Amino acid sequence: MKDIFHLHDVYDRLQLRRMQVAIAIICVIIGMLLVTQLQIQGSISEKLQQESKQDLGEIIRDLDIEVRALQGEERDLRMRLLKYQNAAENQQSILNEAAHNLENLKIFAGLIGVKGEGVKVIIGDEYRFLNCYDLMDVANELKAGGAEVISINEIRITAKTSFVNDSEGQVVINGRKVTSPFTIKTIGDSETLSQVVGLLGGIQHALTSYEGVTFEVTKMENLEIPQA
Amino acid sequence: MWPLVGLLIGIALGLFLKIPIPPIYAKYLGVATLAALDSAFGGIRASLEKEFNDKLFISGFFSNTILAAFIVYMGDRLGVEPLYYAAIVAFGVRLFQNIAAIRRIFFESKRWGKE
Repeated sequence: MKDIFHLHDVYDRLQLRRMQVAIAIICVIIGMLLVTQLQIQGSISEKLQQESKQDLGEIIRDLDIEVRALQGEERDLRMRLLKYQNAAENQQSILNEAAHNLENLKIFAGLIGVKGEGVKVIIGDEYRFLNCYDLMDVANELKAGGAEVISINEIRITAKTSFVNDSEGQVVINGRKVTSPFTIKTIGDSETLSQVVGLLGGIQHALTSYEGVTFEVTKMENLEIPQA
Repeated sequence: MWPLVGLLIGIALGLFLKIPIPPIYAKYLGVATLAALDSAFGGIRASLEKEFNDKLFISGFFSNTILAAFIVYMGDRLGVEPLYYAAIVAFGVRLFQNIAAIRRIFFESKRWGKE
């Protein structure tokens, strides 16, 4: 009986040793698994999955802002594309504008005749008080008041026009003698121009203080001033 | 005694090696770890009940671990992600049962202390 017990004991001890080695090996593997898993979870916790709600909200907000910025950029780029596509049209419009400017300059230089509403001012000067400077003042006043075109006794006033008094005190414009009554035609906004002339302390006020000088201002619907 | 030493060696190895596993596989590894724990406790229980078989134990450990990860993987691929919970519940329940059995043996018999 003792022998049997003894045998059983030996068997048990062997079995125990094997068992312990096996469990130990498995435990090595479990330890590695556990540590690795814990490390992964730790690294994830720094990432999106474990972010607090507030952080997630912030991330979403940031992304929203980024999206909006990108959308704005896209819009800008589209605008630029459109602009380039319209480049030809733009050049056309620049050309048109240039043509318009040319027209204005031609008018200013007196190269073409002009029609339109305006004001006719007839200045009478019975005793020949007025000299060329007075007429120049009238022309300048009208120009400052927005007159597009001015003519005095059918002489177109341009940048190159000369105003001179001759030896007899006669006014000479562009080498042509001009005598009273001076008919000044001007094209522009008739209301504004008539106000400019009739302003208190203005040109009419100043000149009519001379004896025999009269002003007659007429608004005209349709004036025509030929080229110089 | 031996299992504890093994566990410590494993932890040290894990810390030292820092096995780089992408976070996407964390789920698989987690379930696999659970299965491994279950196997280990199963082994301890078997040894206490004197029914320990080392071949059964080692093969059970690996097959359970791989099967657990595979179930989770299959769940993901099939679009049945709750399969993940099935694995967790199955191994979790077994884990508790094993621990309970170990506890019972520990308190009911004196063999543990004598050997």
